[in-house]
Amino acid sequence: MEIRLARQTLSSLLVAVIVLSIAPPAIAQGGVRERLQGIDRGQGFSGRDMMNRKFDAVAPGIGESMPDITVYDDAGNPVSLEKLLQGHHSVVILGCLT
Amino acid sequence: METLLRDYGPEGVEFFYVYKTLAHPGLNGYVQPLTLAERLMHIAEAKRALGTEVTWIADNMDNELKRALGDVPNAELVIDPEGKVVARRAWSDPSALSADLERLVGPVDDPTSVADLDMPAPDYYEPTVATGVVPRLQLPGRMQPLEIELTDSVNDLPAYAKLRVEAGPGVLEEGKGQLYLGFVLDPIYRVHWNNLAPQPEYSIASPEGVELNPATATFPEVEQEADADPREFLVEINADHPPSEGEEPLELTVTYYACDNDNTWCIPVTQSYEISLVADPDGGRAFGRGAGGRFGGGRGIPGGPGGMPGGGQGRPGRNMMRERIRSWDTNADGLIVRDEVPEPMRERFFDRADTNGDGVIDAEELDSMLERMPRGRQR
Repeated sequence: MEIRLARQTLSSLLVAVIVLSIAPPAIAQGGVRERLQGIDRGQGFSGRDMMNRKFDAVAPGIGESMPDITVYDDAGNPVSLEKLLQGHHSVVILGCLT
Repeated sequence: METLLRDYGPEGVEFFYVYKTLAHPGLNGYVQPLTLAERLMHIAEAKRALGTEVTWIADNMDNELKRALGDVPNAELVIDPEGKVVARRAWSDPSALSADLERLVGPVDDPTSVADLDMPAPDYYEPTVATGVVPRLQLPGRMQPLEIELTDSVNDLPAYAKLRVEAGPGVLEEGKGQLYLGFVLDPIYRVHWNNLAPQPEYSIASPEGVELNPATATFPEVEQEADADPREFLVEINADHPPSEGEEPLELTVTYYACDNDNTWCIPVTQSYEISLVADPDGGRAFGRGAGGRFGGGRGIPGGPGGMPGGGQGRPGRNMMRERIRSWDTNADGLIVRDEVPEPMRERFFDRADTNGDGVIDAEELDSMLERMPRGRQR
């Protein structure tokens, strides 16, 4: 039992050491905007970094309105997104079954 | 989200999940809807399977809202009563959202916890017929989904079995390489293959200068009377020119019998698709077969060859590491999500390993991460 626990602890430490070793220096230093400017994925940024960057560039910013897009309620009725979100605080999250 | 709905719904905050294209077609068996009606059926399935009380709305079939939010799969925004964005993040973060609402609406006296909800585990569809009886294909490498369109369905029947097409390296650049064809039963219709009927067939007509091999095929015989496994093919494509915009699409026709799981009907289906040699930005990343699949033994992927090899490559450090990381897959679905990574390593490990940023670490990404390790650190 003690040997098993020691092995588990050792392997956990091993994972931590290796994970830290593969993180590029850019991740550990500087602000997000500075890190992303002029740096492409080929220089060590993950897909998630790139998606964050795309979201920042494309999605409405703070103080801006959501686009007026036609969406559908669960009965299939067309709904104006702009009207749906008027008059109350709203939380909008993208999701799916997978 | 459910706990925040309980806490802030009575305060007038409206919560919306927006159902969009599937991020990972094949996960839990679900396949990409082709019509708005099918997207609405997915919403009904999500409500049933997840037990959520949040209001769902559907993005339109041009995926305009997803596009307007940068095509990220799990964006989260808070909107004020004037319709202005007051908080936003590319990835939903319940803790941050809770802080946003406390700041904007005010604190709640007795916040609801997840335990308070007593929500059951997700109840995803499980086929009632045999699965794991048709071998899955081993793909030659990462493939890209292609744009397809269902152009004809005899008697206007729905696509009980849906086509997925992906292109291997070289196809989109030079018109040469391999195409993956997957015919996958759609769980929302609760149907199965009838293996006592004549086996399904597909045929593809290609424009001049484009050769396909095989351009026609009959699905393999299956011993079981009924099953729910995908039918998959690799087709060699050899065009005498690179794909270009506006080029005539491939035209695929498939015939099969679909039977409902209650065995009350069994009908012949003939459907046609147009396949464009153009990458589909909304195709998602499929799981469950070949490169980029789940770890071996993931739910719904019995024995699939796309799983992570459990054996060694003569490098015991890497194998020990692989097994250790696989042990984080606590729900045994063959994928690692952020919350399954131990807290101290979550940020650095997950973002480095999830190289395509789709929110899960699959077999290929784990292998890739292990490959990037300095050799001296692998023991």
